Amino acid sequence: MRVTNYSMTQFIQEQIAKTNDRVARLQSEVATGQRIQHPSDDPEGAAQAAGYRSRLTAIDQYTQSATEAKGWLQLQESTLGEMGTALRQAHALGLQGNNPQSVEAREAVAGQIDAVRSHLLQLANTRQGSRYLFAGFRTTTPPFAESGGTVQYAGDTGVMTIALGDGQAMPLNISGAELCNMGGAADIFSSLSQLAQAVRTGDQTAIGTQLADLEDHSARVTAQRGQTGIRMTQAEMALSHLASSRQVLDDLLNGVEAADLSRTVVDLQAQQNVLQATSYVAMSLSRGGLLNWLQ
Amino acid sequence: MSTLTAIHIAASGLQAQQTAMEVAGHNIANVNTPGYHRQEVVLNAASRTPASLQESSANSPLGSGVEVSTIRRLQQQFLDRQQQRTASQVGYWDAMQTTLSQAERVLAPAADQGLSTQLDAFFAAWQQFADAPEEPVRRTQVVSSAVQLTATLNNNAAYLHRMDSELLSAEATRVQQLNDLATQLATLNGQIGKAGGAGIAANDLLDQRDQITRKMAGLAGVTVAMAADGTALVSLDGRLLVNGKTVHQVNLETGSGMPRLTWDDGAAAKITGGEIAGLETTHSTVLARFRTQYDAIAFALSSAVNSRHMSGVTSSGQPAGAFFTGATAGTLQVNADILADATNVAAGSTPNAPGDGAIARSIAGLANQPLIGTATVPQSAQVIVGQLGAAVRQAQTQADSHRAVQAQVMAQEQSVSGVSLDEELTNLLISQRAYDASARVLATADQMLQTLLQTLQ
Repeated sequence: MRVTNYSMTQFIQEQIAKTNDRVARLQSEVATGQRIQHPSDDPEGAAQAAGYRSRLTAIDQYTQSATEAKGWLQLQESTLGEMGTALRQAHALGLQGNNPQSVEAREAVAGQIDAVRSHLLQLANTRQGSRYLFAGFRTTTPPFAESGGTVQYAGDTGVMTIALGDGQAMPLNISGAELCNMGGAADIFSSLSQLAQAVRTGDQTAIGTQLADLEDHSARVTAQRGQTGIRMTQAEMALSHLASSRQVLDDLLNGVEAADLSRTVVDLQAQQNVLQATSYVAMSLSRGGLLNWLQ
Repeated sequence: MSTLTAIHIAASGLQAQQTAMEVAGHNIANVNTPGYHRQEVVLNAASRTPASLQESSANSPLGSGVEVSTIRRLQQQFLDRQQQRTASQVGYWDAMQTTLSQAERVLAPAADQGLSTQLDAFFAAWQQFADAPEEPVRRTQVVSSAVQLTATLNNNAAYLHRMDSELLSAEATRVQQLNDLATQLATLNGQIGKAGGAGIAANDLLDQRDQITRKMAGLAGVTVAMAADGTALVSLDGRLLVNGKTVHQVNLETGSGMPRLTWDDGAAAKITGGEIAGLETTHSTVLARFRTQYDAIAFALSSAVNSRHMSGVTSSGQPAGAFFTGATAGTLQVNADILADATNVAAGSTPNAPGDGAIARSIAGLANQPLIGTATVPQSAQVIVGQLGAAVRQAQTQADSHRAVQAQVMAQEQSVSGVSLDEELTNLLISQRAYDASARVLATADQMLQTLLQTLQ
């Protein structure tokens, strides 16, 4: 093939431009640690990566939700535990007041029962952060308020949910109405005040009735506590599942997006060598030629 | 044979070698001229005796020196045709690559900033809001993520709109260039025809002609045929654009509705190759598809989010209004009432129930609903990224491969038509030596003549 001056310089120019392009590409790969700088570098990979990233955002979100739910459930569980203890304490006090005693002694027991009642009222108004645990949807106002010797429920029966995954919602709260049997035959607070009253008057029949009611209340609280425990386990399982999904997705995303640094650096070195060699050849081009030898 | 004949022969040698030197000089001068075809002197031994000497040596077997039969332009016709074809392909894919990779930078920026990310953030904000709807921070987070989302959609739509008019004006400029080139070619055709008629080889005009036809092919993928007299016939979609000195112009009508190409007699014109077609395809096919997809996302968002949102109540227990206004990518906005007061965002459907996040939860769940065909909204944003990348990739690959073919053809063409300085210098040396020798013949003949004249004195 006949080689001309123009084709020689043109060829070298093209080679240098091509190598420069490769060097620039590899340099930005090394600098960013990303194999895909623009979707066109790997269209399928870029779409996949966007999908993985979308899943990761969702997983992070569910993780946050589950962690928050766990906090809520922990508080709910311990509160229910305390309520159970208080109810058992009241039950014991009721039994203690069920013996024929002096008026002073009965009054002392009744006073203790009243104290348990107000402790229970406090517990029923427990807040997590700024949200009342047992208020249903009306989380911003205290659900239980005492007026004129009776306790009124100001919450509703709403059940809040928490999403632990796509389409996987778990009920979170227990409505105070259900927990304290508000609106039922006898709520916790009226049972306790009636018990205190019966102890004061020494009405053993009434004490018996109230003690039976207290056992019902106690059973309800214990059942709810068990339910809460189950939900906590559920949230924990979801958390560990989310963590392992995150791990898998991270690996997938890295596989698609991350540059193989050692390989990229070696490639970069190779391309830089090529660039050097090409420049050397370009330099020697201008030295060759007949013109330099003719006088 | 007479001494005079020897002088004539020597003179023809001097003239011919001088012409050869001039041609070498012309070649060297044009070593870097684009499109220049190397020229070469074709020498012939003069067999016919010059008329002045006819009588005296009519039957002599001896020739009478050398003559320049022609100055040849070294060219291979099929390479020219290949050049035109590749120029058309390179023009087409190059135009597409340039515009699309620009669009890629804007519509699919760094992997974690695009529309897809904004959608993820939007749905995550709703999910968080649903977990604790009493928290004012989460409520404002929903609004601000929605504002970012609509801004991204608006920007993308505005960018596509701007691209439309930019591409159209680029196309109009190219059509004008095509017409200008057609006019230049017609003028050149006239000159070439005239030169041919006068028996002159118009080598340098032919170089210009080939340069122009190549540019026209790069612009509009025209077909070029060469007439016997060296003039070019250029046709576009089966109709003649340049025929000898006649030009039929093509116009881009952008008045109302869709822009269309017409011939000067009003008939519709079609350009299927070159830069103009590349711009046209980018504009009317590729980018238009993305505009439709962005609109689909905007419509799905506004209708699905709104219908759920409007079944809820605001913080104050009033029936909630629309969350989004507008239903296209260019017009989608967060409702002004919500922008003014975030308590107008509905979290639930029960009045006086600040903990109710049911509506927010169901809006968050839209992330996984097939709202656009069988695809979810985030999925179709991911599909756009993939398709955009694939379109750029295809244009890049095609442009690269056609450029490689072009370089190949160029190298082949150079090997036939290019100027090699070494070669020209060698030719120059040879011509110089031959010139020296012819001069020596002339001197010798002159001496012989002198000798003869002295003898006769």
